[in-house]
Amino acid sequence: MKKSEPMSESYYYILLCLSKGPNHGYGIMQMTEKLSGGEVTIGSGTMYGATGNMMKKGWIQEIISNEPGLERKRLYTLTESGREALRAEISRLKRMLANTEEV
Amino acid sequence: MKKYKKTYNLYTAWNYEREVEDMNRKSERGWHLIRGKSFSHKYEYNPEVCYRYQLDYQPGLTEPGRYLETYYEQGWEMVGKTFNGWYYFRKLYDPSRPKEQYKLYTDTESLKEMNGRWVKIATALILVYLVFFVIRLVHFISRPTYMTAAQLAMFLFIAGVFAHGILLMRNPKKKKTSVVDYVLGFLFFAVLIGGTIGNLMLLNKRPHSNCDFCADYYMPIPKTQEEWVMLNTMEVKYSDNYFLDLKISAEQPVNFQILDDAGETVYTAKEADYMEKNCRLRLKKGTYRIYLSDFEGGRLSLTYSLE
Repeated sequence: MKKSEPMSESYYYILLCLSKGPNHGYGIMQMTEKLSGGEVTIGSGTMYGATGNMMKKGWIQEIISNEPGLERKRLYTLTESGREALRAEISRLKRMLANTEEV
Repeated sequence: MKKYKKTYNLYTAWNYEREVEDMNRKSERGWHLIRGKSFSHKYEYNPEVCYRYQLDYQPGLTEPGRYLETYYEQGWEMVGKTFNGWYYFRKLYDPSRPKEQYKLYTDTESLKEMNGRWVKIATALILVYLVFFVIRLVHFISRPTYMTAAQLAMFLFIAGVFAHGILLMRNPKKKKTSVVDYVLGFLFFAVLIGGTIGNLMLLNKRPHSNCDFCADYYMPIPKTQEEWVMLNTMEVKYSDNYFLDLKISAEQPVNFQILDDAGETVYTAKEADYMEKNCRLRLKKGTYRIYLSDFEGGRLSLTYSLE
């Protein structure tokens, strides 16, 4: 597997939120803010660009919701390669953290 | 009763933050943008609310549905769109909420992507103008006219301003709201619009006269002016360099002559076999007449073009 580039914070949080299950843009944004204690905000322009790029990479997919109350709403879901990219990033971050503690 | 006002404004793309600041400031004073266009803004008065505005550049938007849904979900309302891909958004302002919530782009990477979209288009436009420039330069070298010189200056100026814009879009730190930049922006639109219209008008007003002529003269054309043969008249609308191509092939020498309003000779050639290319004539505004004279008779074939 080719070495993956470090991910931007927005990309990472989007993938992280989606690993919990399909969600829409606004849901991802709220969840990111909650997880990071308000430290990370994902604006609409950033969200639209990041989700568009990640769909092109094949990391996420768009599905139309059929849940009651969310009918016809656009949801994003993680693909297998998206899950793989997230896993790679997590192990990169773990390695960095472990290295930091060693030093 | 609702109060509205309309303003006309010029903002350059690389100064879009200034436009955003202006809209926010107006909103704080109760005037809220409700329709944004390239050169005009429409505002509505309501002292009870306040909005924060943002501009987004999305030329050739491929997923408008997903785009607007993503923005709408976070409370952004679209209040305008320009022909060239700028979108205006606003969100009700609540001072207790964090500042980041009033930004569309919350990391440098995505902001760079947006600026990069503009840079890409501006680069393509520079290339187009440089191609125009080279084409006209080649023309200018063979036929230097003031009109072409003005075109060349215009193309170079436009390409230069785009290059300046690209520099500022790529290094936002260099941006400062200076008077120079404001004047440059104004000049840019003036040159772009005025220059293009002016050029088309000059081109449209530019006369050209040509003639492909062949005849057998059994009688001579005399020297006395009253009996000359007038081939054409040409109306010159503005002073510039004009160029003459002439080819005479006759049994006897014939006098080819161009006279101005005052009857002064601007050009003359008396030959039997003659070829002239790209002869530069500095012509002032006025009517010019083209004559043949002083020909002893016989076959005469003549081609000329003056433009």
